[in-house]
Amino acid sequence: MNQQPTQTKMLNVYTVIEILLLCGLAVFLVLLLRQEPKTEKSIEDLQTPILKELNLDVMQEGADQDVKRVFGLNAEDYDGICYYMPSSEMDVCELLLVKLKDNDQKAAVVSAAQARLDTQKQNFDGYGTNQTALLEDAIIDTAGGCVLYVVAENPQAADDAFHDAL
Amino acid sequence: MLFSSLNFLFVFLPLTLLLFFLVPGKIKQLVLLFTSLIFYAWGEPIYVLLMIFSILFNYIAGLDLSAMAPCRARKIKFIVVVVVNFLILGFFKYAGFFVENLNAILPVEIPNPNLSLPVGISFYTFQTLSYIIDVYWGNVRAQKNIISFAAYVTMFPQLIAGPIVRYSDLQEELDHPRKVSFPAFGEGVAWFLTGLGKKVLLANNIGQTFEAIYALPQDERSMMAAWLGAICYAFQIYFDFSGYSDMAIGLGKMMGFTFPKNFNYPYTAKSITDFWRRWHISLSTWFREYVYIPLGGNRNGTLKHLRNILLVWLLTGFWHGAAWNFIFWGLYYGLLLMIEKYVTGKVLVKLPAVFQHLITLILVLVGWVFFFSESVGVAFTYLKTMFLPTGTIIGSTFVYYLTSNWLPLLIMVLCSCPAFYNVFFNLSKCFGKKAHVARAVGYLLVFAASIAYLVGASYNPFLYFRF
Repeated sequence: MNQQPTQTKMLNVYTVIEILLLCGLAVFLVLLLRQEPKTEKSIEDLQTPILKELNLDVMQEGADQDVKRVFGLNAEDYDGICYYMPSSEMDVCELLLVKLKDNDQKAAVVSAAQARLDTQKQNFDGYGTNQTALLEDAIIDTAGGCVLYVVAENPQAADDAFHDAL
Repeated sequence: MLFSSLNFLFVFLPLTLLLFFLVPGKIKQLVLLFTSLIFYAWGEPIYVLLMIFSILFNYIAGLDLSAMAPCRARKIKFIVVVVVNFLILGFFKYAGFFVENLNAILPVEIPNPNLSLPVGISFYTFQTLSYIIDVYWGNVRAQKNIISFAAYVTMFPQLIAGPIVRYSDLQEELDHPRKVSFPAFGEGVAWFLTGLGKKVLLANNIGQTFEAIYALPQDERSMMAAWLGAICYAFQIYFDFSGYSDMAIGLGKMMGFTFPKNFNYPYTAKSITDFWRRWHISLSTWFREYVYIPLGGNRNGTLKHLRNILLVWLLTGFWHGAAWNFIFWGLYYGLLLMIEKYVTGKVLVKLPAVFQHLITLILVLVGWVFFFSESVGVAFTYLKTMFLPTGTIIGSTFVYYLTSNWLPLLIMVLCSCPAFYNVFFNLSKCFGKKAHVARAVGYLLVFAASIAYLVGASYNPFLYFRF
């Protein structure tokens, strides 16, 4: 036979645990609010130092239609987009820098960049050794309300420039 | 991680299923919990902490409420727990919206927290609330096993986009896990592949056409192109969301869980009431059980009934997103349902069925315009193009998009009707005892086509992700 609940007191061991958990939540929220403010810089200010770290001979500037075709992203949905695409079918070096309008867009942009990277890896898997190596080192990074996707000889330098520019 | 991503299909899912079936029965839920946390952490690792808080807090609260006799203290605790859950959801989903609106109407400059939305927070908050409310009402026993409770909240098949599985629906299966039979697993695979095909082959394809039409400058979008755009979106969101729900249901079946059906051919509805019995059923059920009926439903007179309908649909709209267009969309349906209930309902049923369908579909399309537009103003501009012949009626863009999409559109019309699936099953019966083999070949073809599409395309959004 089930025992009927009898407790009527407001404070019990469960309540103490609940209060402790709420304190933990409060700390979590404070830390969350203190992290990653959105950058005030324009997309042009952000892209210039990054482009200095890249070999633009193997890339060409892409238009909004290219961003749409390759990543499925509408340029007008964002504060700014900078896209440099591979200059030939056999090149893989590219740069996508997106300044988000709000952080809700981050997951979708990261997902689009990841999908592009996966597709490129599939395309060159098995025969494009150099290209595959570059793709393996590709960086997808987010900071300051921006998303960076870079495939390059030295993507780390581009990523560092990105963080310095924020 | 999306179900329709190569990472999920070829790495996460096979490994998870392998592990799930290798371990003995008692450890399966632990495996499910562990893999679900990895699945969730894939996109936003930091928000796993928020989910763990939600699990622990609601687990303890459930035990607390079930240990107490009915009294004032218990009621206060229940209210506090519900408020905490709503505050968390509100903070992450609606704080920015309220701050923006307050800053716009008051002479203040409150800083916008500008936080990213934890994926699936609307879904898992509603699930934990269903648990707390049912425990408080005495409809279910509090779950004593924290692994089972955590597995319920985090269960990756339905974690990020539903269906919203109420605790009472899964309690039995959580307490007494069943052995998954081979036919049940096969049924799950069939559901999953059907969903994958809907999402990848249909929704992704037509989604690109919708976005191209929506992106057209207003003066280049003819009246017919605007209608075509709305139709494309209607198909995109249906096959996108119902495809994802089917995949979730299939994954659940593969692991021994029965999730409620979330869609029942909504575009065959003959009225708006009928439409909402067929669209996102788990959300409508949630609001009916936990808001509409507790408020009194239709039992306390017309005025209170109207209030209850409006409130439920205001909340339904707001649940979908922190923006005025979603609120407007919700109120639009609230208004339509009130009119249907008290004014046009009796007239509508006397019309020939084809007119009932047509009126319903037009009203639904208008609803989608509010849903896909980034603001109410943009929605009205789009609707103006649809309904007022002030500019081009047909136009070359319409002809181009129709001629290049007529076949996918036709397939989508067929796939929106139960008759199509019945034909598939009846055709497979022609193979006699090998009908199941014929069906399996059909599903494998869908799988192969979906993978071919996924490998070649980088356009693979998921609309309900943001809710």
